This record gives sequence, structure tokens and C-alpha cells, in this order.
Amino acid sequence: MTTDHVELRTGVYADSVTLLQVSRQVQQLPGVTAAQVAMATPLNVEVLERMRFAIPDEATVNHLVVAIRLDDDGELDAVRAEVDRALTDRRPAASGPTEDAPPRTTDAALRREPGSLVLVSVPGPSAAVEAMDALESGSDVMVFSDNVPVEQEVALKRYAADRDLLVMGPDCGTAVVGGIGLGFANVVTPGPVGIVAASGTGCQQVLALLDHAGVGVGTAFGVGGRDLSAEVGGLATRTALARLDRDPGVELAMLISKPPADAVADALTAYTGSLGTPVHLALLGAGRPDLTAATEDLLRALGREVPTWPVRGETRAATGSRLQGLFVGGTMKQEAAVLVSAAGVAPGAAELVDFGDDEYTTGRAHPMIDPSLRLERLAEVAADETTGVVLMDVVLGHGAEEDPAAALAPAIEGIGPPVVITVVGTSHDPQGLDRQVDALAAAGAEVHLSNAHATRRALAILGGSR
Amino acid sequence: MVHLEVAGGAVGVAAAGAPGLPHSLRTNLVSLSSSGVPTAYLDSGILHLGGRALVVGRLVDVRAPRLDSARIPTASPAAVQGTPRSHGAGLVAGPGGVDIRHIDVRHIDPVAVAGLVGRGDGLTPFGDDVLCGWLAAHRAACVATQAVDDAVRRALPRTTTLSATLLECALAGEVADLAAGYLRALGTPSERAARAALAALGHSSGEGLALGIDLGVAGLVGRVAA
Amino acid sequence: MSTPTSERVVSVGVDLLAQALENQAAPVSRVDWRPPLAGTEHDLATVALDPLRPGANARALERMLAVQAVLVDVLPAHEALGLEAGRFLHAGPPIAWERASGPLRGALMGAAALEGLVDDPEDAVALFEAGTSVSLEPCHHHRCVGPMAGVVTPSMWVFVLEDPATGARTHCTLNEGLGKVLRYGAYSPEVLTRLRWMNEVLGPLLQGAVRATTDDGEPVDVTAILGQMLQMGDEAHNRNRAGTLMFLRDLGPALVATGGDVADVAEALRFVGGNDHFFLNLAMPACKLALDAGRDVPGSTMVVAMSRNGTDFGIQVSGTGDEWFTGPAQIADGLYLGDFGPDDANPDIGDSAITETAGLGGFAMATAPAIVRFVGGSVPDALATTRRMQEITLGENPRWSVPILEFAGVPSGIDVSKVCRTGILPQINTGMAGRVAGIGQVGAGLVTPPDEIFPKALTRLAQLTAGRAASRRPA
Repeated sequence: MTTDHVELRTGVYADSVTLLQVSRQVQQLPGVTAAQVAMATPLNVEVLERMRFAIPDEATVNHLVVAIRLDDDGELDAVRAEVDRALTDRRPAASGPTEDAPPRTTDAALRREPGSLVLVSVPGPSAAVEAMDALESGSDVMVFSDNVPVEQEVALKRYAADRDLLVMGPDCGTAVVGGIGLGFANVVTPGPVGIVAASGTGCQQVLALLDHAGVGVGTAFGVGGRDLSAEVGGLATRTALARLDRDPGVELAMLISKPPADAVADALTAYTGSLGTPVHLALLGAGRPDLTAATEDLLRALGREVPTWPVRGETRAATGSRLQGLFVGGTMKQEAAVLVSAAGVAPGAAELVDFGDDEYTTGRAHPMIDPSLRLERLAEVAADETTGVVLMDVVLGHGAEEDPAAALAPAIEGIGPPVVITVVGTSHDPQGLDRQVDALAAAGAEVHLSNAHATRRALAILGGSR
Repeated sequence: MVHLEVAGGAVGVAAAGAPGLPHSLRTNLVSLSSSGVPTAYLDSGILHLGGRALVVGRLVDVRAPRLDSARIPTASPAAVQGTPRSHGAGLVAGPGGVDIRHIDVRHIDPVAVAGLVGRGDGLTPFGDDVLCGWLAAHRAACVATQAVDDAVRRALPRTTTLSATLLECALAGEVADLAAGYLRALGTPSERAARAALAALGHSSGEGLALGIDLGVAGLVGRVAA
Repeated sequence: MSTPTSERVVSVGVDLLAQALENQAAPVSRVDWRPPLAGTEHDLATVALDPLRPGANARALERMLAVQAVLVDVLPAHEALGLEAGRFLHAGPPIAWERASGPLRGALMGAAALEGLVDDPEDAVALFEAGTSVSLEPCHHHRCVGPMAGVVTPSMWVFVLEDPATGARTHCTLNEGLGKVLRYGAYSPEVLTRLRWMNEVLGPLLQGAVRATTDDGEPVDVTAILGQMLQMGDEAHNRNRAGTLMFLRDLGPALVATGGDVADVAEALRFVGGNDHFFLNLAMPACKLALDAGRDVPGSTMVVAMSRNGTDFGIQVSGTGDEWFTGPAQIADGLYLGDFGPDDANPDIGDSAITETAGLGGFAMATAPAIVRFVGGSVPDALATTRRMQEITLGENPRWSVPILEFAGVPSGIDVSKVCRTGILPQINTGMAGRVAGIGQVGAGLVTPPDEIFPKALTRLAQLTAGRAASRRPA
């Protein structure tokens, strides 16, 4: 016999990742058979109703829902006390009495600590407001948030361009500035390369390859996926390249993006030509070099040796005719898609999914933080007889989950189809690159550092079955 | 800053906001004090201090910033010209009575090295600090110092573990944050403020580093290609 | 080696990202972000991205902070404001008799009798219901402010404050004192007798004294007194004791030297000195003078008036001209005198919230710890309130500083955007009027505007911004 307890709280707010962690904590408590602590967004209410909790009609997006299902041994008061504790533990703490309350806006924070770089990851509709605070105060800003309307992006970047400030984003997941990794970022050795990237995971792939090749990266600016569109016109890319050009420590710059809009491409070429620092363009798409090839070009330009990109582990022959790609990195998926299509694979024979895409992440955490959705799909794909080979990526670094192999290795252990995995990570990443690779290889996967190579291998395995 | 002996060398641990040295971890720990530190140990390559694991999350570049000829002054810096200064770590006598009047400002040679390494009191003898500064200036200017390097390596056993570690860092071109700041500020309007900030480091270490850099720069005048 | 940039990061949003920075020993400041007031995200973004806004707010704030308010005259309202018979000014946004609350009605009735429109105040009800021979207008529309009911009629004498740099002026009636007074809606014969004495004796005496000070070139500097008051435990809304005493000190000799009848002069000195709130009626127009200077800057989100008429609470904003954004006036939360209780309290009333609008009153609570017991709080609450108001203001006033906050200037220039973003409402310290006309003060406490008026103002600002953008685009 279980009893449900559902309460609505107002005046309380916490971000979705924090609430996910709180929910997990509460789920582990004795006597709790199910629990969810979440803001009452339509998506979350749907999730709660699927868990058969009855959510009151008056719940709005500003309500925090605490839904607990207890078995006979469960003690409601104790569990609720734990929920309270978990929530307050995660509030930005006021260090003293109320005099020292934490700042409520970016502007207030910058008044206390002027000159800081700002990292914005609030829900998209509110991101531009916080970003403007940063720009008005003379600070560069990284907008991790997505779902920011393009008109707002343009207005922000125009304002920034007039003041030689940098807006990284929106939807910028990765940056390395002043040696500090922002967002999902790998631990890099400082060095002579500077990166400007319109894609977070694309940047991370390059960082990982360069790290293996022993080449350091001093700075990596993200500019957001839309910067090189006709509407935005490459405003942030220009500022970022100018910064790298001015930096005496940067010998060579690399621009990673899908091909820019025609209108923007010419201006971009003219601009990069005018800079003192050589700029390598890694523009990804059909008929163009993949990221690994572009990185190899860069290494040669630096006069460095191109290493053999590492592969660990061995996997089986194809068990079916379809390639199932399950990705957490958008650019990893896109790169794979280009290679799959170039190989002439029929559309029905390959399915590539990016679990970091908006349709999978509204109201829930990114798959680099919460792997559960992809793991569910992996189980389905593994049980599907048509699956010939599974292709995946694992992205390490700050921000990503502590031990991806812990859940993934058991999930691939003993499944039928062969598994090819790219582990994007550097030697100093907190998850321990070697440990992750070893665990996945031991579970039967073939593990690569290069996503392009992994994709080609998956295609080769698939081809072997025909 | 706390200094720990690890595998025969020294590793520093800097508290939040404390200026870093080339051998030190930078942390956001609020305070560190030698007297209050219970234990430190290594486990699987991770340093543990006072029960806390100091996991490295970021690599910091501690190399000397480039010093190109445009920023090397045409005349020697004031600190090494004319009469010795009267306060503390001056030319004539620094802490521990180090007499460096005999040093030719145009170059420090292996003989001078013998007179500097290990000379002076403190965790880092004043003479060592001067040498670190001198080496830093040359590394910054990409001017080789082979003979002096060899002499320094030979002399290392004569000084403290910490100072030997810092000298080895200097030989590898790795410098303290404030020394990098001074090197970066040479030939700019912020030169004086940057030197003052460096000179304030430690008891006399900073003054030694600053003086070493000045001596090094003085010796580079006219020697660095444009 | 790349040139290091500032290491410090401000993180607003997902805590995980701030944690990732801490794991790199990077100094992080976390913003305690919460979703904005419901439905305001789009308008907030529109206004935030308005190219005019930053400069407009800087200008509005600067103009406000530069104003010096000097007492230059005391005159009857018909002279100072051109107010004719039958016209009644009142506190708060525009309101018709039908919707007016008890204290306002009582004050209007008493004032009608004072002006000789009726013999018995009760007879004035018919006059106002008919509405043909009388008119009601906000004080704010006539460069005037009034505490509580704030009724101003032609015969009432008003302080005239002026900014020497621009010649701009504001006005306010003379404070009647405590207890049963017109501003609380009392209209008994003793109320009218006192009002007549103020018109016939006090007003002219004060005029003589004030004119003497201006002739001497040393007029009373109200802005300066406000600055000193804050160092002495006054916040200029609910506590004006030090201000009143400094006013007496400044004007006393001139008052004596007017050569008026000794008994009258003595009575005037006793009247002023015995009323701890006397200075409120100088603080208020000084604040209005400052805020008026910040009016009408296109694109500015700065609040230039907060005011209540006992039924509605209204604000005016610099970038939206004379428009009022109104909602229901709230009942204050605080301590009640005697055995009064919440049922006895009238909704919030008076132009005195102009003090908070200028950074005083509730905004300066940290400097007036004595006030907190009166309003049922504790000393840390007072400090926290002033700090919280920093979250919703554009800047601080260096001339009006708070010693205990290391002489930080009072938070000044309420920003409509910041209110909508943070949900923090301006904190007002106020007295509470009794619901029934004439009861007088029933308590004192803390009150805020209704939260809906800020989104309304924001929407209007967004419309104006969009309109400007549309007219800039080529057809």
C-alpha cells in the first residue's frame, strides 16, 4: 500500500538540474517508492501525471511541485524535512544575516564584483535581459541558454560590437577563457592555438584531439550556432577573431562552424585575410573535411606531427542492416550524418539522434548531465533485430556527469549489436579519460578519440554485413 | 601559501586570492596556515590537505611572458644604477647580508652564481630570488643562458628544497604570477605599480625577484634582436 | 602565454555550471535568480534591448540627484498654484468621489467647509455627489504633494520649494499635527479652527521668516537637512523629528525677527516644535522636486512618482510621461495603536510615498533602527530592507548616505524593469489611517504597491520602445 503526497510551493525557485539532483536524493530515502521535485511546467506536469501523481489544477509554472509516494514504512515528515534540507543546501548561501543576501540580478552581482566575465544559463526568454546587464557593465558574456529569439541575439551583438565586447552564444555550451573552462569544457593545457567555435561539442572534439597531439589551447571562444547566419552576420565571430589576433600568445587560430551564409562568407574571408594571425577554417558539411581532418591540417601548419588517433577495444560483426547513432553532442551527430550520407547509406538504413536537441531537453537536463533518456533508447535499439551497429559519443569534461561509463558500460555489456564509441576527453578531464575508455572497452565497445574515425569504422562494420 | 615536500621537491598550495608561485596549486580555499594544517598526503596522485582532496580542475600557464626588444629599456632600470638604495634589500646588503656589489650588471656568470645560491635567510634565500628573477628575464627575452643554467644546477644542493624547486622552475622558464605581471608591464605605464606589487611579495622574496629581473633586463640592453 | 583576463566569473542560472567553475578554483559569484513576475519576460527583453534605455536612465537619475531643494516662500495655494474656488487637490492618482475612501471624503468635506462652500461639512456630500461645482485633481498634476488625504484648497498656505539651478518649484501644505486632523479625514469644529489659525497666523508668520532668510541669502536648504537627518536616525517618512528640530533652528531667529505678535510667534514655535512630523511636509516636496527633474526622458524606466488616494495606488514613470499605472492600494502590515486592528485600517493613502521614490523612508530604513520597533521589525530587518532596495534601483544618492552601511548612499531611482525581474517591490514605511473618516491614525507599518502595476508600466514602456523601433525601420 502506498500513499501519495503532493504539495505546491510558491516563492521557491531552483533550476531544472538542481531539482533533478534533489529528486534523486529524495528517491533514495527509505520508505520512498517514487518522488519528483520539479517546477510545474507543462512537460513536468505530464511526467508527474504519467507517474500517476494527481497534480492540482491551480499549479502554474511558478509553483514548485513536491510529489512523494511512500510505502508503509515511509514517514512523510522525515521525507519532507529532507526535501527542505536538500533545497536549501543548494540555494546560493547568504553568508551572514540578511545583510549579505546574494545578488538577485547580474547587474547587482557586477556592482559588487566589477570586471567579471558573465555566464548566463537562465531560461531562454530571460537570457537577453541578464546578458544586457553584463554588456552595460562592460563585461563579456557567455550565453549558455538556448531558446533566445534571433532578434534578441542580433540586438545584443550589435550593442556588444560597438563596445568591443564579446557575446558568446546563445546556445554556447563551451568556452575556455583566461584558462578557465566555461560550460561543458575540457581541461586543456595552455598553448599556442586559439579557437572560435559555433559549436560546443565540435570545439570539444578539437580540444581532445589537440590534447592528444600535445598541442595546447590558450583560448576557445564559442559564438553560438547562429552567429554566421545572414541575420546575425558573424558579429561575434569577428570580435572573437580580433581578440585572438591581438593575443600575443596565439600563433594559430581555428574557426569551427558549419558553412556560413553566402552573404557572410565573403566578408569573413576578407576579414580573416586581413588579420596577422593565420586562421584555419574548419567549415563542416557535405564534401568538406571532417573535424579530425581539419585538426590534422592545423597540426601540420604548426609543424607538429600528426599522431595516430587512438583506438581501444574490439567489437563484433554487424548484427543487422541499420546504423543506430545515439549522440549527446550535436556536432558529433552532424559530422556522423555527413559521413553516413557520403558513404551512400540509404536513408532508412541509418538513424542518428541528437539527445541534446531541444525536443529532448525542454524541462529536463542535457544528456551530458542526465543520460537516462539515451540509455532507454539504447536498450530499445539493442533489442531491435534490425540494428546492425550502434554508434555513440561520450563527452567528458567539467559540467558533464562524473562517471559516464558507470551506467553506460553495464548497458553495453553483453548486448547483441557491435558498439563503436567516441570518448571526447582530454588527459586531465575530471572523469579520467583512460578509466572511461578502459571501462567501455572492457564492456565490449571499440573506443575512439576521433568521431570521424569512429563513424567510418561503424560504416565499415555495417558494410561487412551486406 | 603552504609549502609541502613531495617526492624530494616542493609543492605550494595557495589560498583563494593569494598570488601563485610556479610550483603551487591555486585553490579557492579561504585560508591556509602552516600552524593549522593537520596532515597532507598523496593518494593516487592526488594531494590531500587537511582531509581535503585537491583535485586539479584546470591547468595554469606559468611561463614567463614574451619580452620583445621594443620593451627592453635603452638604459638600465633605476634599481641597478648609481648608488645603492638605503632600504632593506638594496644593492649592498640584503637580508642575510648578501653583498652583490661585485656583480657585473652586464652579465651574471657561473662565478656569481656560486656567490648567490643559498645566500641569505628565509625559506627562499635572497640570492636565489635574485637568480630566479634574472633567469625569468632571460627566458622572457628568449636569450639562452647555458653556462649559468649549468652552474645553478650544480649549486642546487646548497639551498633549501623549496628554493631549489623554484630555481628549477626558473630554469624551465616558469615564474611567479607577480613576476609575470612585472615582466608584462615593462615598458608600459604600469611598470612601477607592477614592480611595487612584486616587491611586496613575501618578506624579501619579491624584492629579490624584482631586483633579479632588473639585473637581467639591464644585461639584455642592446642584446636582443628587434 | 596568453594575456590573462579577469579570473572572476558571475554565474546566473544553472548551479551546475557555477559548481564546475569552483572545481577549477575560479572565483565565482552566484546570482540568486528567480523567474520574473508572470508574463513579463517578453516586455523585459524588449525594454532591456532598447538602445535608448541605458543613457535615458543615466540621464534621469543624474538630473534627479543634482536637484537642490531650497525653501523660498510660503504662500496661499490660490497664489502659488492659481487654485480657484471649487477646485480640490488630493493625494494619489485621479479619483472620483464615488470611489473615494473614508479619510479622503472626510478631508474633502472639511475643506469644503473651510473654503465656505458649505457651513456644515456634512452638507458637502451632496456637493461632491453632484460634482458640478467642484472638481477633484491629483496634487501631482499641479507640482504639489500632500500627506494622507492630501487635500489642498485655495485658502490653504503652502511651502514653496525651488531648485536654484533651474527655477523649478514644488509645493506642500503645512502639517497640522497629530491626532484628529483634516488629513486623516476629521472635520470637527476644532479641526477647522486649527486650519483657520494656520491660514491666518502661521502661514503669514512663516512667510515673513522664510522671506527674511532668502533676503539674507541663506534660505533653508531642505536637501541638506535631509542629508543630516539620515545621520541622526530619521528616514524622512515616518520619522522626521531631527528634521523638524533643524528646521526650527534654521528658521527660529527669523521667525522672531518678523516682529509679529509675541504670543503668535510663541504659538507658532510651540506648534512646529510640538509636531514631530512637521518636517514631512518639507521632505515630500523636496523629493518631488528632485523626481520631477527626472521626468519625461524617453526610454527611461525610472519611477518618478508613487502615490495613493486611499483606494488606488499609482505610479508614474519617466519614459511614459503623465500616465498613471494603478492597482488596489494595500493595507499596511504593522503595529496598531490601542485596541485598533486590521479591520480598522484604511487602504494605503497619501503622496508621502514620494519619499521612498526618492530613496528615503522605507529605502533608508537602515539608518532609522528606531523605526523598526514601531513597524514590528528587528534591526537586521531594517538593514536588509535597504540592501534589498539596492536590487531595484538605478544607483545611489551620495548626498543622502547611511552611516551604518559604511556611508553608502540611499538606493535611488526605482527601476520598473528590476522590480519586474526580481519581484522585489518598493518598501514603504507608512502610517495607517482609520477607515472611518476622522478616526485618525490607527497604526504604522510596512506596505508595498500592488505588484500588478509594474508589469502594466513595463508593457507600456515596451510598446513605446517597439514604436520607436518601427519608426526607425525603413518603410
